Amino acid sequence: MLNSASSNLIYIASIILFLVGFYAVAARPNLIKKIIGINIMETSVFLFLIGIGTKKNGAVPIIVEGVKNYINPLPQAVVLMALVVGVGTTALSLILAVRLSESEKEERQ
Amino acid sequence: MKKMFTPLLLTLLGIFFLLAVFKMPPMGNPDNPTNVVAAPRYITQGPQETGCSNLVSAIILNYRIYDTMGEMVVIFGALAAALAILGREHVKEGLSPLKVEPSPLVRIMMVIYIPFFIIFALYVIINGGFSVGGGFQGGAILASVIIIYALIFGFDNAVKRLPAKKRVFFEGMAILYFTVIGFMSVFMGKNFLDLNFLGISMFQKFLTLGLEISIGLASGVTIASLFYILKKVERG
Repeated sequence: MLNSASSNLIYIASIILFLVGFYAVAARPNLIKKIIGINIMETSVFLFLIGIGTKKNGAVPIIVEGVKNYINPLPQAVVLMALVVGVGTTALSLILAVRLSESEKEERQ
Repeated sequence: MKKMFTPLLLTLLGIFFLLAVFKMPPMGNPDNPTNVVAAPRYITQGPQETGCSNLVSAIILNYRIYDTMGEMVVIFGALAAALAILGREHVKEGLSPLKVEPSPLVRIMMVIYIPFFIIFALYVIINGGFSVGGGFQGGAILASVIIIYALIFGFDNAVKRLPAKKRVFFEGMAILYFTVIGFMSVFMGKNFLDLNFLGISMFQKFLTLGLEISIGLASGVTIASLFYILKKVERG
C-alpha cells in the first residue's frame, strides 16, 4: 500500500487540491471565493488527467525522426479543451456574481 | 453540529478518493490501460491521417473536431450570455481614468515589447499543427496582450484601438469557419467536418492552418471582450 502511494504522489496531490477547492466552495459564503474554489477543483482534475497520461521516459507527443517512445496525447488534448471551457464558465459565473451584487445594491437603496 | 458537517464531508471524500487511488496502477508504467488502448493508434497513424506532426493538434483538429467545434460554441455562448446580462462597454472620453498612473518606464517598455508579444502570439497560433503551439494557447497570449495594453494605457484607449464593431467579426469567426468547412465536406459527399474531403493532403494542411488561425483569433478576442465587459462594471 505504501509502495503504491509513493509511486502515485501526483494523484494524492490532486486529491488534496480537490479537497481544498471543495472546502472553499462549501464553507465560504463569499461568491468570489466560491468561484476561486471551483477553479481550484478544476485544476486538480487537470493534474489528475495529466498524471494518468504520463509514461516513463516518454517524449512530448510531437513527431520527431528517431524517437519511438511518445506519451499518450489524448489526456493533453482533453485538458486543453477543459481549460477553454473553464474560462467560459468562470467568466460567466463572475458576471452573474457582479449582476447579483448590483441588484442587491439596488434593493438596498 | 453545522460547523462539523463540512470537515466530516471532506474527510469522507478524502478517504473515498484515497481508497480509489491505492487501487490504481503505478504512474508512468508502459503497460497501463491509458498507454495501451488508444494511444498507439494515434501515435502510429496520426501523422499520415491528419498531416499534423503535433499529435495534440491532430486530435483536437481532426479526430475530435466535433468537440472543438462544441467548445467554440461554449465560449461563444458564455460571451453571448455575458452580453445579455451586462451589455457591451460604453466608453466616453475621460470617464475611465486609471486608478494608478504607471511610471514612464513601464509605458516605454510596453511600447517596445507589445509588437514582439503579438508576433509571439501569432507564431504560437500558426505553428500549432506542426510544432509546439496551438490556437487556444496563442489566443490566450493574444488576450493577455490586449489586457496588458488596457491596464497600462487606459481602458478607453484600448477600446478605441479595437472597438466592439471590429470585435464582433472575430468573435463569430471560428464558428463561421467550422460551419463553412463542415457543409463543404457534406456537399462533397463526406462526413460533416471531414477535413480530407478532397483527398489532397496539402489542402488538408491548409484547412488545418485556417482552423488554428480562426480558433486563435476567436478565443483571444472573446477573452478580451469578457474582460472589457467586467471592467465596465467596475467603473459604473
